[in-house]
Amino acid sequence: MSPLGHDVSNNMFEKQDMSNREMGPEPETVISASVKVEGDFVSQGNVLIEGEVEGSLKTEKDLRVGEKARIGADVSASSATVAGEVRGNLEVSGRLELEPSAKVYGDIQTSDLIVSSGAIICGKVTMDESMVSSMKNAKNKDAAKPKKVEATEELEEIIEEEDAKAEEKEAGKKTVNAFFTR
Amino acid sequence: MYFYIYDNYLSEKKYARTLAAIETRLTDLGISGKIGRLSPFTTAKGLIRDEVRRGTETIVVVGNDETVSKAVEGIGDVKVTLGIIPVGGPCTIAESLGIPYGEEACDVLSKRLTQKIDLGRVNGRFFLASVRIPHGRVEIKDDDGRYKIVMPRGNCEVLVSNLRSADMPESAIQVAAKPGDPLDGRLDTMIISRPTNLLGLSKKKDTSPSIFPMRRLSIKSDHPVDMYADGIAFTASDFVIDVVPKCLKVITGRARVFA
Repeated sequence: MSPLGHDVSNNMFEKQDMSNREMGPEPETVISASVKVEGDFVSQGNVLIEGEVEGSLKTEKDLRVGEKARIGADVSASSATVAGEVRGNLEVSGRLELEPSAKVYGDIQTSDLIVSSGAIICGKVTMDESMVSSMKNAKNKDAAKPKKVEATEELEEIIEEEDAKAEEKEAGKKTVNAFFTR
Repeated sequence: MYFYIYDNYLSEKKYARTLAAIETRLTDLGISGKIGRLSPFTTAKGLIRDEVRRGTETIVVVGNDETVSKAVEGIGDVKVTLGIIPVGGPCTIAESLGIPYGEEACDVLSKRLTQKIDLGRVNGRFFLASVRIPHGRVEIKDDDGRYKIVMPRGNCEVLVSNLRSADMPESAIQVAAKPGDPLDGRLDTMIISRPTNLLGLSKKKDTSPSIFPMRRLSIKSDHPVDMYADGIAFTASDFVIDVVPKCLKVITGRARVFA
């Protein structure tokens, strides 16, 4: 045990976070069923909501919305699991998972989306282009060289065609000259 | 240099034997010192301030949670070390700090295992363990007033905890860190709902409490409500509660509830 209890608990939490991905990371803030939060709620840790939130909700870590929870707010989190109702936009930089009882009335922006059968989405879904394009760019870097070779080959073909046309023209000119000279 | 503060109720006969054993043990360990007794005319704050001026570095409270609360209020942010010898009851604070009851606490005192812990402050008054509002409909706002917490209907209790104690409600939900860590620089605000039926009896088991880690909060009520800071009651309609990180050095035992 470390004399600095805070460090120990953080390390323990990090270890659990790695091993409990299926169960969900343990929350630091809990809004239980009978409680309502109004305003701009900001947290630095994992949040579990079983009650109501009105306004805006932002966390730097994981968000879990329980089945009976109701959120009337724009939500921002690094990862989220939604089983309740969200009336607002959802912006999740990591994975967003919508469980069968989830109802989302708003736009979704995420890089990784799991929608279970029965979940309701009424809004626009945008897979985060910055995340997706960055992955594509990583692939494109490997494919960049062959594309350049193809381009040069095409150019060469075009040049050859033009040369052939030019030669035909010159040949045509020669016959005309032969006609006039005796 | 040690200064011992005895609470007023220890003058009762039933505590005489325990006190005699404690004093003998302190002498054997070589940590005996001056004794001051609380009375209606002598406050802990006055005693502590006088002794600190004389150069005392360690204040030892002999008594229960209320005695500790009076001492903490008197110490505030003064640079002294606090020790506890629990006698009488309730002694939940000493239990949370891993300090055994009575004579055995002297050995813990002698080992001098210290830890700097956070203190809470409500309307300028320091507290060590928790602040409790058992009844009343209140509104809780965070530090900057960015959000407010609307209380559930019915009977509910607000508990702002700095140091975990045995009488704190257990959450059915596994949380990242148990509320009441005096080393994390935050206070854990818990809202415990206790729904009742028409007869005023509890309807069902208590639901899991809400937990909000905060550094500063305000609690307002339309009517004055009772608040208990470490067992000492006072009444007001506006409370401002904040945390003072690593404010007080305390002597603890190995069985303390925090690392």
